[in-house]
Amino acid sequence: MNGWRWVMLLWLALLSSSSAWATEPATTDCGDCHRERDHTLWQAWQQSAHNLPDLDCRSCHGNSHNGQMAARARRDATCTTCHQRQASSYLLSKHGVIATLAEPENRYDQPLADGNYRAPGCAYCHMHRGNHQTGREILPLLPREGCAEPTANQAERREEPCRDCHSPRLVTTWFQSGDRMVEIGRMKLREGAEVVARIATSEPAAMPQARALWQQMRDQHLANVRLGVGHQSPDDQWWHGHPALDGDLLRLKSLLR
Amino acid sequence: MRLAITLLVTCLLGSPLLWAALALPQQGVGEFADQWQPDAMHEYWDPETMHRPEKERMSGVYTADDCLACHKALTPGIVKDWQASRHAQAAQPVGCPACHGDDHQNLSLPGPQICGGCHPQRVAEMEEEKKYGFPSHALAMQRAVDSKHFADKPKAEVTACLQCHSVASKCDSCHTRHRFDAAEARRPEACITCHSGPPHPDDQAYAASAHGRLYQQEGQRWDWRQPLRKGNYPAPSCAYCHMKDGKHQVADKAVWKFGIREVNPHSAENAIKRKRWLATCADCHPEEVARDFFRNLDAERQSAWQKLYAVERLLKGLRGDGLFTPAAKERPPYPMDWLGKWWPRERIGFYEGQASAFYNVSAIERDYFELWYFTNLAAYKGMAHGASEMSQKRHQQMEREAAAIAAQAEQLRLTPKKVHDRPSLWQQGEYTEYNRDHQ
Repeated sequence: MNGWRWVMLLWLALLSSSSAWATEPATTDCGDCHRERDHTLWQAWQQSAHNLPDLDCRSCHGNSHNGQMAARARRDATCTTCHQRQASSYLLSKHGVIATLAEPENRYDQPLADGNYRAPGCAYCHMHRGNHQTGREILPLLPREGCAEPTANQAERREEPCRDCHSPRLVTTWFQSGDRMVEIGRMKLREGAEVVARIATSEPAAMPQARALWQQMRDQHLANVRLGVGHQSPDDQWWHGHPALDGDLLRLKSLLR
Repeated sequence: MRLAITLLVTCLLGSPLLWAALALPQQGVGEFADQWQPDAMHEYWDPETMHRPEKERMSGVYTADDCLACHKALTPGIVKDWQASRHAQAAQPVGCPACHGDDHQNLSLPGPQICGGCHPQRVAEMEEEKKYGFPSHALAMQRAVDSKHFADKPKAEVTACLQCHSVASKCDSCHTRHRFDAAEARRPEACITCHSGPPHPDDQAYAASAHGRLYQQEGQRWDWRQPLRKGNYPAPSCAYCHMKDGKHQVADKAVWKFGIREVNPHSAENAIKRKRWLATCADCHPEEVARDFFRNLDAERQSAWQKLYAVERLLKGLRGDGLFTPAAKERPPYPMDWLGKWWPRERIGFYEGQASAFYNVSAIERDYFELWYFTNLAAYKGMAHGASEMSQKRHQQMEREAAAIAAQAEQLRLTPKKVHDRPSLWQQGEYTEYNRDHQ
């Protein structure tokens, strides 16, 4: 009896492993079918910021062709593996809180559209309606420092996901207000650059410290303001953002005593 | 026909310019109302004061079914959310017009006054909180707009303050719209959007405590539909203790409050508040355990204040010797600070208004601000939530920061001031000038 049980188990194990093996895509073969079948999606992905040497479809969708590939990629955990800093900003936002609590009730087989989720997860906004052109055409919602300002078309498109739940007037007001909040951060950065220039001429010995402070303003505090605005995360807009910029701006000035 | 109009309207929504044409409120509110003009977002954070009804798009009077017919297509997320709410499932559903009004030219964003129409006890409890003074949920918006730094700084910058301070003016800070679920507001996550970050890392303190660890392990499986009463939860969430029995106020037990000034925990008023705490803890703990806990908290606070006062004495010594650079008269004053114009002085400590003095000060004052407002408060919050290891680490950090400030003070005493053009450094510059010109 025991012997038979072992044989059955071995047979089942072989069966399941061979079936998994049969459906597991080889390294580059998603495109064999999906390049034609989902041509628009495929093109969008190729133009996206995710089209990187180390990433392919399986990075987000997994490698089990089990009918859950789309659902898997819609979950926040898929994104937060790489985007950790962004995740900490988002998870403290009201959207992030609601999404965390609503996770058991969310049906991830639903498209990323039409308010199908209690609160938007990462992909709901950043890949709205399944748009795979992440980071290029529609988003990031606020352009990175040094990138071009959004075109009229981009400014329009960045509002689309929000409108599934919020009034268009709130959404426009919110983005314009957020743009102003970020711009004020840039003002602090530019004032800081002027101070650094003064330090270079009158206190050159303090330059390493001055440079470090200014880079911290740009790469951390201003980046935090952007994350805070984008995710409506108060800590990043404020405590890790604007007052932090204030602090380093006056520390820069204090180098000229 | 109505649907056709709605679709046309939807098409027109595209241009942000249309919204830009809306007149903004010309004046602020509160103590410094005539000094500032609100940012356009302000109306959404304090709708009862600032909201401008939408008059440009739609007209007509609508029933709840009319609203749903259009908004299912326009804003499907909120319709689905409302449909899953108790408002929708009640025998007499509470539809859109009950809260927003039915005249599309005169819609309102509901605040406590409208919610209080059906939930008067909860709103009355929140109103009652005001008698305990700051800090409080009910007075939060007043605290924001009456702060000198709020009135002084560009409104597009300090709009960042309003989301959290809107807890006074919007019930949906905790009961998020359009589900308005009590079960959601009972969970710790409902609080962390605001109760996080350097001055109030309540989220970290709770997560590191025995209460929070138990919640993280098994809180998903607790029945959050249960009221916040004895025996209903294996460990307390934020609201279990701070809003005992679901009472909608958080101030009637607050002894050490925000933590930015020393208090006497044994005053007659605080003794009453402590009894309320002991009664709360008694749901699970013997009284002596709770008494020990508060004795340890008071000892931790006293230790923190000894450290802070030592630094304040040192800074006041520097001030007496005129060693701050820039001196108070070299800094841009708050425009509304008439006393500061006649008697400019550097603000050291709570009673001199240091809570607003975190910009346009010298580096050493700012370093003390961070020691007092960030590290000290993290030490307090750790201890108050039963995360003593977090508190101990922050006390060590306080000591390191105090030593660094002492070293910096020594440096200021040893190094003579140079002849820099300080007015151009401290009173000019792109942001500094923008700040001066845009309140």
